[in-house]
Amino acid sequence: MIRVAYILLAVLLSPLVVTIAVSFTPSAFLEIPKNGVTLGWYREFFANPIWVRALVNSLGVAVLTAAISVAVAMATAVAMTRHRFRGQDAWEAALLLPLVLPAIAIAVGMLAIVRLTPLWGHPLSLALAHSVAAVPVAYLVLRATLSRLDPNLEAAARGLGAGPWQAFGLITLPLAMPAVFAAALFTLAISLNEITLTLFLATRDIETLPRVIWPNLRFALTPLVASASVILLILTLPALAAAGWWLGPRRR
Amino acid sequence: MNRWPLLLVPSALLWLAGVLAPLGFVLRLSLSSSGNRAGEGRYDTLFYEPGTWSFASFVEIFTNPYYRGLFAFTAALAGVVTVLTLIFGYVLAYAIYRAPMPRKIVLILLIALPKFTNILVFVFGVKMIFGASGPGPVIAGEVLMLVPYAALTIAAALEAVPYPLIEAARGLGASAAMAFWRVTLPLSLPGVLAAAILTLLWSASAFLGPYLLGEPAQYTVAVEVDRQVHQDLDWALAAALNVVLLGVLSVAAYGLSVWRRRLA
Repeated sequence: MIRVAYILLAVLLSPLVVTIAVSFTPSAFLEIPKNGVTLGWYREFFANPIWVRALVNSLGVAVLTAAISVAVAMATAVAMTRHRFRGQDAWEAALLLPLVLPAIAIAVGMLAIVRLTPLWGHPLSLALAHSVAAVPVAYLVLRATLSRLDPNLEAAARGLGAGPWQAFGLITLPLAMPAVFAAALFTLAISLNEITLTLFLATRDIETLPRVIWPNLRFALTPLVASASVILLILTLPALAAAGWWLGPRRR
Repeated sequence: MNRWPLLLVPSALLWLAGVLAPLGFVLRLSLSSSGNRAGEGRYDTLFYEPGTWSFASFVEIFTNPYYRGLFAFTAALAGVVTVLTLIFGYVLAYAIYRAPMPRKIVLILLIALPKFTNILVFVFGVKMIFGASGPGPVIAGEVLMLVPYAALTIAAALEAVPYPLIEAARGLGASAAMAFWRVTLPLSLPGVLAAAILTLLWSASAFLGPYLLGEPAQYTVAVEVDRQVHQDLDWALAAALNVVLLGVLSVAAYGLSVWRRRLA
């Protein structure tokens, strides 16, 4: 069974390996490089203003998403771990609902609503939509850390005269900083990888990387799409490192 | 002094605007008349009649054999994908369970790696390996996209199964297969069912895989929703498709979760 598992793992990772290999091909076609590798397709990516603008837009939306969702999730996690209230479990279940809701259902509703507002065609609409998907993940990460912190530390700070904000800023936040960092990287990755909401909400003014890759993937597959995909992959690698840290030293 | 509930306001606002309002709007939209679809390609018209009430979209979905076939195909695809995903996910989860410590984390990270990469990277690779389009690539793509979630969910349940219990079964004369069948599998079943709920929900609402890897014969309900929104411009019908899909999925997920609770 274990040996089968390693074969499965190889199959699972094969699409990534092939994509990375193809992005270095000197051929004009989708081929695994045979005679030597080239960075030509990456050069073409960065020489093309459409792709570069999409990359910049993607990063902008991702940073905005991370800022919004980590701040929102932090406030919620503090309230949820420091206080008990009636209906807390139901509240939390509702908060985590976007993890299982079909994105297509949310996307149609969001499209219909956003088109009636001035947010239509504004990067903020994408960042907010991505935050809806990212907040539950950031919340789970932050809650896990906050619930392990000793509440007496904060109580001691308060006893010594610190206000609630001061106690949070001087005690809780520094202690939870690694989790904040991990949550930020996770939400960046979620935003960079989100497709369905992006396809429904992005307009020509806010083309992001997945949106530019999309038509190419359907109609005009070239190694350039592979290199664009690898660039997206590199951007999300820090999140994977954060996941490794998250699983690593402290948790047993 | 009791101002801490204010901390819940931001997430509540985001939830109301980003979850409840879109779902409510979809429900209302599904009960509207289809709008003027002549404005094709224009982005300043509404593709439904605001303020109208009509069951036409639901009638269309329940009477037109095309939509019945679409839902039947989506259910069949979700079933096949879910079964395959659970089997493969279990095998990977078992490998995580049995791996010694440093290797365990490496294994988890490698299994999670595809989920940290853009789905488009993944689709690109699947096209290269399993073929450009057709039922094969669709199933392979969907299963590979969902296996990491299933594996990690089942692994979490397996981790709670004490290994000495399995050794005891072996010591009492059970074969390896018997010990697995009678001890390991039943104890990890709640995890398998949790993974089944997630996999079923996600595979039944699959959009990107069938759209990018399939031919029109493999299109699912979600692909049809996208087609109605962006090409046929019948938003009332798209919303009604979503409502029916959500209804069916809620019933299925509820049934599975009741079964799971009975086990726990």
